[in-house]
Amino acid sequence: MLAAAGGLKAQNNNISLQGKVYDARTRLVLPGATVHIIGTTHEVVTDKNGEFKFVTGQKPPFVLLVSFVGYQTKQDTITNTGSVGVYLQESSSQLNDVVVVGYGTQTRKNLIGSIVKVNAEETKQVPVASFDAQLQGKAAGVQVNSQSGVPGEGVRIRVRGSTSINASNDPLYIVDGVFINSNTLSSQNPSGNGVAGPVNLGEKTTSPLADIASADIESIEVLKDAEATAIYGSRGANGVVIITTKRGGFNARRKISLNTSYGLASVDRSRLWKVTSGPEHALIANETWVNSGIDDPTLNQTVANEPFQRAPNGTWNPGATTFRGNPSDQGSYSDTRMNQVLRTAPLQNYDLSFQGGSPVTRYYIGASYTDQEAVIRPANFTRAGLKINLDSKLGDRVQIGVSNLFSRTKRLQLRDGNGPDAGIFQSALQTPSYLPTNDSNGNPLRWANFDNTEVLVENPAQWTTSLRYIGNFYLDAEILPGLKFRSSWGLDYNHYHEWEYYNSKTQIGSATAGEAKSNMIQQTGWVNEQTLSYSNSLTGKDNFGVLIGNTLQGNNYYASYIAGTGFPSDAYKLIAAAANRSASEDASKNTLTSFFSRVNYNYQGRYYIEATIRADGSSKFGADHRWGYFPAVGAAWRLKEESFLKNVSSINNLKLRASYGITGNQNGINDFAAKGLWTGSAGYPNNVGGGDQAGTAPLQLANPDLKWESTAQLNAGVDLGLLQGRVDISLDLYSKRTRDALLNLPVPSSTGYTTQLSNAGEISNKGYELAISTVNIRGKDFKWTTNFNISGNYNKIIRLTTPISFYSRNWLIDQQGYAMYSFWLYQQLYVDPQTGNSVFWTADGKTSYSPTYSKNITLTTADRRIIGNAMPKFFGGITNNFSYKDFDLGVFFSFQYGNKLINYNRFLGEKQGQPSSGFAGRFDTKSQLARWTHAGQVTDVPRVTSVGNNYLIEQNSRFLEDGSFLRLKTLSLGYTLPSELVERWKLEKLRVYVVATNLWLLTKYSGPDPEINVGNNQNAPGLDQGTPPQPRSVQVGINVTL
Amino acid sequence: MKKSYIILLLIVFSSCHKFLDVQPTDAVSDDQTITDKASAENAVRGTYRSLSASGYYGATFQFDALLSGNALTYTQSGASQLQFLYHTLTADNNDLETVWAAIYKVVNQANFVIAKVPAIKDATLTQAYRNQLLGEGYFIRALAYFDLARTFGGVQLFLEPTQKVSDKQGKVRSTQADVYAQALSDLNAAEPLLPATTVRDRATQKTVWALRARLELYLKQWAQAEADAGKLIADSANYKLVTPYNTFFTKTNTTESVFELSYSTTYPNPMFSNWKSGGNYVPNDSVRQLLTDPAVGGNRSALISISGTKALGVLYPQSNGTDPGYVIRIAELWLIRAEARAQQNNDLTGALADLNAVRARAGVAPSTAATQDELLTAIESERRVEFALEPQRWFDLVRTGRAATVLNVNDVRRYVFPIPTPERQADPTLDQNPGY
Repeated sequence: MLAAAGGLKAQNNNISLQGKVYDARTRLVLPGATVHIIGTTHEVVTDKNGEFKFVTGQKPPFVLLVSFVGYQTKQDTITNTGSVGVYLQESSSQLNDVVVVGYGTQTRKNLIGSIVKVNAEETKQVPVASFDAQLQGKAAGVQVNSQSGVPGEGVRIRVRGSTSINASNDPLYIVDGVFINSNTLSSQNPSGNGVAGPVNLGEKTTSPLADIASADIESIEVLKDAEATAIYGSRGANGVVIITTKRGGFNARRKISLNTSYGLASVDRSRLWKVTSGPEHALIANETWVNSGIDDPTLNQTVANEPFQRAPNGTWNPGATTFRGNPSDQGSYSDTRMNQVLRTAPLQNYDLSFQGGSPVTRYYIGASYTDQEAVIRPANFTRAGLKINLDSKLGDRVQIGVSNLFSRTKRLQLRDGNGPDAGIFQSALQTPSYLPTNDSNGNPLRWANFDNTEVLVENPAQWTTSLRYIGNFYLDAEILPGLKFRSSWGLDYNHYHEWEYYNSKTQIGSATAGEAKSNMIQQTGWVNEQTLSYSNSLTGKDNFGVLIGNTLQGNNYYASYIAGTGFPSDAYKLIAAAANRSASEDASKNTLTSFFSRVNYNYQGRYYIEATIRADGSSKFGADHRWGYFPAVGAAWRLKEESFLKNVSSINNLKLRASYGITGNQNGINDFAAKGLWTGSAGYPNNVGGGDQAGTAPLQLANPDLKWESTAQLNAGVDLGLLQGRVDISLDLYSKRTRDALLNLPVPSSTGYTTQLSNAGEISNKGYELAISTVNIRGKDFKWTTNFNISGNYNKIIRLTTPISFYSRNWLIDQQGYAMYSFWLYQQLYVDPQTGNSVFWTADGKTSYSPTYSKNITLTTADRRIIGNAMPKFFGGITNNFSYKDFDLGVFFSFQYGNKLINYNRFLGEKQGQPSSGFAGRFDTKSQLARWTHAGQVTDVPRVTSVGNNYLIEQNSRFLEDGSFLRLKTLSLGYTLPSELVERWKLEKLRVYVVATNLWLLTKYSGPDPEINVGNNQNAPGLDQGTPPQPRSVQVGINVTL
Repeated sequence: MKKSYIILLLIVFSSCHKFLDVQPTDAVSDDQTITDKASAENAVRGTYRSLSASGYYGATFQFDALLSGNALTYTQSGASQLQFLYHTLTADNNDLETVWAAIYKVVNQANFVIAKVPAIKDATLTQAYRNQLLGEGYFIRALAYFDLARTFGGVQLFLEPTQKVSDKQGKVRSTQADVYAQALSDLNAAEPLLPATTVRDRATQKTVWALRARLELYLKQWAQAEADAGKLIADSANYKLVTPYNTFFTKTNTTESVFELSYSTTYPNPMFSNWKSGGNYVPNDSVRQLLTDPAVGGNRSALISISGTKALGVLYPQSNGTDPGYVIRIAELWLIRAEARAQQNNDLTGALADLNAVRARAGVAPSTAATQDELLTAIESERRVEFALEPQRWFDLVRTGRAATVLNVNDVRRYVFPIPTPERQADPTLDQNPGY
């Protein structure tokens, strides 16, 4: 297809070459295509007229490699002079896509491992703060759940299931070669109010991945099987996410891109919990009072002294402990509270980038700014980012470059998970409706440990800022043809400041005349890496490659905490003004050193074999167990290249892949977990008034046997391409077995310790992943493509000596023989229509068990059983893209099936009017109104009484709901203005678009959002409590390139 | 350049071991503890700190007993607290595990002190001081086992510090009597080791007498209880009822206090935040009525503050958490002696005088109880009011066998709490208490 005879012209000793690149079908020029002379570092990019030109010292003949996104890469030999015209075929097949692999790149057709490449252009439209949340439904085998409707908070992401209980389950994230920290710097173990230590975000955490602007991301690759991840050894067991940011092109014309969008987000109010009115709540409370009195006469509870009644003289006072008025006297204030908290939140985003390059230097400079307000007041998230990537050639054989990412994120925060005091969504939802928001003078009132919502909204109290630098310097040298050396140094530095100030109007501040904390946290990760690689075609189509390398890594964590209480007035906000001050510190450090190697060989593009090994030494383990060795082998067979398929035109690709390997995990455990330690935080005075003197106490029991957790993974896959690449199917089956699982094994507390980190479990994950992409219609004007993926993962705990339960009330349990994150509940079989009592399943098989009204409970923990699981049976996404002339339309659904969750808010709202707390504890949901009231009534909400099992058995299976969902995640419509028009404005491209998210949700779940979770505790998913749902949003935007 | 990389690689290989040897900066390894005078002192102070931890005397242990003794209303949602109030405990109650772990942590620390202090080689450590530190270890272990026995019944007795997990697995439970006997034996061991000084937040010989008097009441060793209580009452220069009642918790280091736990802004007392407005607990209506009745509560009404119809406990008034935690007060010893005398039925006048000493301080009229039964009932009632917000009543009613009559707990198996589920999962040899 190389149309023209040579384009060579001798110029001194150099030769000047010029030409033009076209679309082979439309014959239109292709600006932005890359032209490269094989065997040199020469590379240019075509200009807006599709033309390229460069000067080379190479002597003809040489081989030109021309590539462009969405087109088949073309390779041709240039022998003579003249202008070169290159015609590229549009590629619907992804076979020649370049895929980033560990320490290198690979074309898709040569891949052995299981790797998904995610189209970053498509995912970055989703208006969430971090790129990991944008991956939902886009990559088979990658389960992503945003656990909160507040931007910038933690996201739960699992690649091929959960492999560990106490070590990390998060994948390894690599940005431009830097292993970045993805562990939050906010803590789930906050200190008490006024005590120096981490602030309390209501079990939520901030995501350090939200520091990275997705605008600068060129591609995201997710490495899943052992063949792909074993080169990352100890850090690869949970999958690897490789982020490659944008770079300029050598000899490329400068390009300026501007993308700006503005939108609005809001909560779907119709899906929020339905709350009783004040009178309804009071009625239930009276009914509970009287029923309890009947059940247990010693309580002395009768109609005469029921809580909601007027005084004999007819007066009453809402919220008092006696004479609160008749039920009909009560007002309803829930809507007022919710209205104070919810808002229509503006979202805005601006990205500006410059890229281009001279023959020896290329650059990319990106600046971005995002401001997202949360749908609950007053939370918001802003991020300003700057990206500078530079590469320069030092002669023909050596190239150096840097990647720099600077960002600052600022969050105005609140407790949007658990925690009644200062918990904003919780106070709005869970304060009983009949309790007024303000007294008769208009002063704000707060009730039953909840803050006043208006006070909270108007006195924001928690902030964080994160300053982040992620940078990398590399040097590439081609020592001999095919033999390359690379050295790189990377740094991930995060300076994190979190502070809070609860003034005297808030509940926390009112107790102590103001409460403040200010914490500075520094996380520094560095990596140094050397690789030496050799790659060569032995004969024609055979290829042989070998790579060896080493890395050194270190992580330093340091935190200083200060806190104060007792401020002169609300005008004083710094701890310098606090009457009581305290301070503390925290520090930790770990190091890792590794050696690795990979050998690959392919025979005529038909048979592929690859072996990798990595040795990792970690400072976290005892001297005898430091080193872990992680091998993997993989093989592939491209049947399409065999003679019997070579000429079958309907099949354009058929490849079988298989791999087996072992990866390790040591992430997420305490840096000093193997050591026996005594803490110094145990001071005590020698006599009263003597002041604290130093004291020590045992902290941790030594475990000299602590060693690596390892996961063996077997993967088999098939790739099939049909109809000239119009249908691509990829199916993978895998089986993972994690051994020596790192586990905070509960030990008898009589040891003086409650847990010990041990290698004490075995976990299996088995699953399938199917991805299908099709080009349904490829007309002249109209094009329709579909990408579909579905994955299922079956988790099972093969061995665990002690069952371990999680979260308060032990809602979840990990137990041998069951999947992780199983719910551990008392199963309510039904409510007896005659008595209105809950009938529970019992271990002795007496399922017809009927409780008596006795204070002496007859259910025991043996009657709790595992019912349901928080993990889905399958999940995935389907994307349909349509284009007609200059219009484009994208419709993306994500789905999940078979996961259960505890409707924790409903659990708290079905507590019969909260008799334990003077009838002012918490709200009632409307669902409480369905309680049993008369003989013969069929309902699953038992008779209200504070006696017996009906409500005192809290872990009742009736709060477990089906969390399956199908969600219209994004809907986007774009229009690209005709090029003749924009050229008149001196622009290259102009596109306007509208994106809507979460427009539609299909689920049986009765709460607003089945993905929500109360906190970011990795072992306690599936608890919907106090957390706002993910918002619906609509954004309009404009993309300009010039 | 290539050469320099080869050199770098060599350095990397040779220094791997050093590179991977990282030590913590905020904790020290096991073998550096209790090796000299300073480290022994540190370990003893750390043991007191654990005694004051929120799972033990700091909060949970106290509140579980207060709830069981029907003194409180819990203001949050949570059936685990209601289980104490209604005596419907299940073994998976989170609080039980918290308390169990907090007390055994203290036992282990005391065991470290008892095992290692005698072997220290340090010329600056005098014999008297060595004895004192050792005696404090014995005292604290006695208190911990006493509390375990009265809360859970017979538990596993461990007298050696934990070196590895298996040290503490597979041991059969002792009886409740055996555990009390161990506590008594530890107190007897501590008595000669400790100085006869007056220090209110550390153990002394006098603290040993006070705790032993209480233990003897539980053991129904009335004469011994009378004698031990009498030793402190006789030391009126150092131990005296303070007037009015609220002096002991509004002032510091009063003669009322026999043994208290110290808190500071660094280690704040969790009590304030639990009792404050919007805190977790409020005194219930019956306690409020008793305290505010001038004929019953007298000036003990200062234990609560009434705002409108609400009552708040104000035993721990300092918002910065610097109030001490009260473990033994001299008022208790007066009432111990009153009870011991009444039980022996040979000095009812003396018993009545002891009781009235406490009543007089509270500003209520002297009791007129005349018979042994009347006196015992009067003492029981007095203890309820005198220790309205201290964790005494549940244990009192259990040890006197009156929980059925007074609290309607008819199943005697409910007199001890169940062994927490996680403990039995971690050590299957640990039997459950009957009835759970």
